[in-house]
Amino acid sequence: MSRPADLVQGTLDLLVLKMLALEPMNGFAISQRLRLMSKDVLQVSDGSLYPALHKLEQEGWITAEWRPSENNRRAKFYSLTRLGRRALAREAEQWDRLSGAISMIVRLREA
Amino acid sequence: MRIEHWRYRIPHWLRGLFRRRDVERDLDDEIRDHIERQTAANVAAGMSADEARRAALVKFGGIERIKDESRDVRRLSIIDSIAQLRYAARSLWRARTFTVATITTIALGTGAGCAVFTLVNSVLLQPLPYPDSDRLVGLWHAFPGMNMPAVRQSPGTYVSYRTLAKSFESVGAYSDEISATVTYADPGVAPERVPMARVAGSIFAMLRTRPAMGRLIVDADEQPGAPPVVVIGESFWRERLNGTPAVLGQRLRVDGVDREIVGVLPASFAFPTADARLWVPTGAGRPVYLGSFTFRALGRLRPGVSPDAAQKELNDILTRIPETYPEQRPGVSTAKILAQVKAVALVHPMREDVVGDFDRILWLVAATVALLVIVSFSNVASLLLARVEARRWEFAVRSVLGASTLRVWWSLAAEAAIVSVVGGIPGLAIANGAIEFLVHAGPPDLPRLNEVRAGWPLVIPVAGLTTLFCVMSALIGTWRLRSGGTARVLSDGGRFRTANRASQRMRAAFVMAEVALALVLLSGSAVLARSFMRLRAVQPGFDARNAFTLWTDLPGKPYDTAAEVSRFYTNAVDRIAQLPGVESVGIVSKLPLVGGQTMRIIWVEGRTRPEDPLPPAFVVTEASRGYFSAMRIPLLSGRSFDAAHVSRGVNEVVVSRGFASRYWNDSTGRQALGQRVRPYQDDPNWYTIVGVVGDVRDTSLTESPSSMLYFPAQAGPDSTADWRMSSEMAFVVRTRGHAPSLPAMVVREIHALDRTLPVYGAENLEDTVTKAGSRMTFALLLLTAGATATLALGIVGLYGVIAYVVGMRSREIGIRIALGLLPERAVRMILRQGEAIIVTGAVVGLLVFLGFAKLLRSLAFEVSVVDSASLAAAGTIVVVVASVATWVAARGAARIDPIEALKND
Repeated sequence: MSRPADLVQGTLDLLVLKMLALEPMNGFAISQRLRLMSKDVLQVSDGSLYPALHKLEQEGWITAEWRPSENNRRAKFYSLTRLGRRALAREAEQWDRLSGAISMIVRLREA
Repeated sequence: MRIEHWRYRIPHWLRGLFRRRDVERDLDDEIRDHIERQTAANVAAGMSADEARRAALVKFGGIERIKDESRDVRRLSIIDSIAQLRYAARSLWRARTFTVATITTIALGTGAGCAVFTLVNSVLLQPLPYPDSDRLVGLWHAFPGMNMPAVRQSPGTYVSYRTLAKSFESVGAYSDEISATVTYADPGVAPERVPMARVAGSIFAMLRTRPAMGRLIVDADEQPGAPPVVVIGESFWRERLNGTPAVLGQRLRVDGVDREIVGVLPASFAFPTADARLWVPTGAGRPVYLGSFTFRALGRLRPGVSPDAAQKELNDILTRIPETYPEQRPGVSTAKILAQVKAVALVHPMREDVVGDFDRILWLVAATVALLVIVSFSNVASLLLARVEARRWEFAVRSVLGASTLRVWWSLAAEAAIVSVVGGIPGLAIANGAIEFLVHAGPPDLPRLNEVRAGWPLVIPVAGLTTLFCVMSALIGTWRLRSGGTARVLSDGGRFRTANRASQRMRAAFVMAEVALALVLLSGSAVLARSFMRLRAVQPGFDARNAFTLWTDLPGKPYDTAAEVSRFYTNAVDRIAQLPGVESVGIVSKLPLVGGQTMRIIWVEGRTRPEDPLPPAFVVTEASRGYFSAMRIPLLSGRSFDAAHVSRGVNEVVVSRGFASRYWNDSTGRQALGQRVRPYQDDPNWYTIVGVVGDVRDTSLTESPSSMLYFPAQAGPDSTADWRMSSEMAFVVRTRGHAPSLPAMVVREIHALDRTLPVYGAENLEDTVTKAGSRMTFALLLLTAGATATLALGIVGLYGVIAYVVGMRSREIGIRIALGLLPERAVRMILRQGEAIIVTGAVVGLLVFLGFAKLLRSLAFEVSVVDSASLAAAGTIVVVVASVATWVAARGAARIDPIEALKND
């Protein structure tokens, strides 16, 4: 599956933003890191990352620059913009509330 | 939405549109880079090269599909906008009341706003259509000693200023509002009266005018003995002289003088007035005396000289004028006259001469329409606020479901764009129609209307105003969305509708402001409407029904003796009186409400002594015995002239009640009879007052009646006084009932006496009165229309705001009803709370109106601005309308099903 259907769209954005907040990196590195950080829980095909990246780029939250890769080809490196930094703070806060609310509801059901 | 965002978005968007190949290559490169890196990683993990690459491709997923999705993301901005527009159109269609109200408001706001903007811009703000027109000035005098604020030039002052003043590049004399009799070579063509201007040659040079053909008047044409010339307008050339180039050098008989046609002026030339069709030299020789102040002068300032500096120089020259011209006229000391009238020279921009007092009316209209635009803005804002508030939940849900803030904003912006564009198109039509109406249906004496342009130039202001509406709507939407915050809306579970105290207070202020504004407008409209009705009912002092007037002009030959003139008028009046249907007929040198007045200083025997300060001036006119009965100007005491229609040596005068009561303090006028008066220094004869007649509104319907003296009509070149009437005279014919064919019969009778005479200006007296009131009527109509439209919009806005405020409380009301409050009581509760706000708003509006009352006073015609009855009526109407709006909205709210209201909690 190419679309992370079980992943709320905003969540993938949040994760990518969070990662790029640490350092600029290319798409491959992001997908590796994503896998590592989420301990393989998020089963997402590597390619599905790219539409998300391009969307964030359109929004102006991340920006890309081309650098020569090790084998002297072009490689695209993404980094966070100021807008992106603000968006990250906002989305993270929203996520906190939402996840808090959801976990509360889930716990209520269990009780 | 932030500007910063667009800094990123717009380049991406443009790149996706125009550099698609680059975008594709970037996408390929990026994916290949990823695959290569993964392959390398796989090889490092111990796979073979082929295996590593295959594993990398599998892990990546369907490359083409991913490319497609990426392209979709990029294309989103375009496709998404279209989708958003469709979505917005659908949601606007669902909310039809909102949509219609908003579109109507925007159409009215842009239409009226742009029409008046165009009018104000072209009449008041644009420079006159002459090069360097800011250096063109009018030269005037004021005689505060005689209470005359605008006095023209005399031959002496003109020549002095022209030769001595260093502030000007040039100065030129001209006279306007005159006409001449043109006699054509073809005896089959009747002579006619044509609007003419006398202009000095320097005027054309000053205005940088170029002829369409031939040459213009030059200084040499002004010299004594120069051959008489005439310059004709393009329309005259085409309509009367067949538009052939051969007219140059031909002769045209103007007022009995054969003049050579030397040039043709382009149709666009509108100096001194737009209707002038002939221009002749002033023919002023070098004056011996200061002379009387009868013609106008225009000057072009040297670069860098201010009108004030020029005015100062002219006043210096004025003080020295008695040295050059010791006598104003034979036997009258210039120095004494100038001192008595306290003469001062004035210099002001030519635009003021052209626009006149029209600017005051226009600014008032502009202020009214500015208010209309403000009300439109606030209407759209309040309607939109209500809509955003109602859809807040929807927006919050959409944004949680993954719609970015941008997308939510887009849907608002798309709605704003649709209503703005859809409202702007009828707005353009309204603006265009309004200007066409103003230019064609407006009174003909409105200045510079020929420079107002409808049509395409309107697109710019309309588009500007529409964009402003659109941007404002989108900004308000964003602001409201931001101020809430998605998380709060969701965590509130919609309870935000039971709003906090601060926002309740803000909404109350909004309602109060709308009520106050509506009251100010309604009170203002009431003053205008009352003025309007008062103006319709004004009595001119004569009976305009069943009477008509027409003019004739006697040329020098054969009417060069008083006997000839007298014989002609006597015959003409007798013949006209014989016509069936004619009740009475009289002649007069100036009709009320038409043309300029002649004023003379009047000495009253036994009242005025030579050593006294100058006595006041009064309006003088010449009339025949039958004039008063033909006009039905009431004879209050005494009688009309004893002599027949036109006479010499009859030293009788009829005065108006105003003049009689000024000197003899007697409204019946009986004490005035037998007293003697004479025009100061102009006429050696004393005239005995034989009759007192009612006052007539001579200048305009809105100005108070003039105190007048009627001297016996006494035409002819050998009449003793040079101040006497021109060769033009008007016949006033009173008919028995409606007699539409009579004017033609009168023309036939006059032509039976002399078929070479021009007979012109036939008009029903009722039309004369209507025309005289047309300017004021037009202004009041314009203002009343503007104020009424604004008021209507204000009421729509008021209802919108109240409905919004009550709607916001529907949940709270639902809870109260669920807890046992009866719906009727709920309605009453809302009404009671609303009433307090509405009444406060009305009081505020009243205070604001009283504060602005002074502005309206200049326009109110014979009505008081602060009138308790109409203020009370306006207050009642506004309070009732607002209360009804509250009641309707409250009933809607109280009808809410409490279960429905509470279910979402």
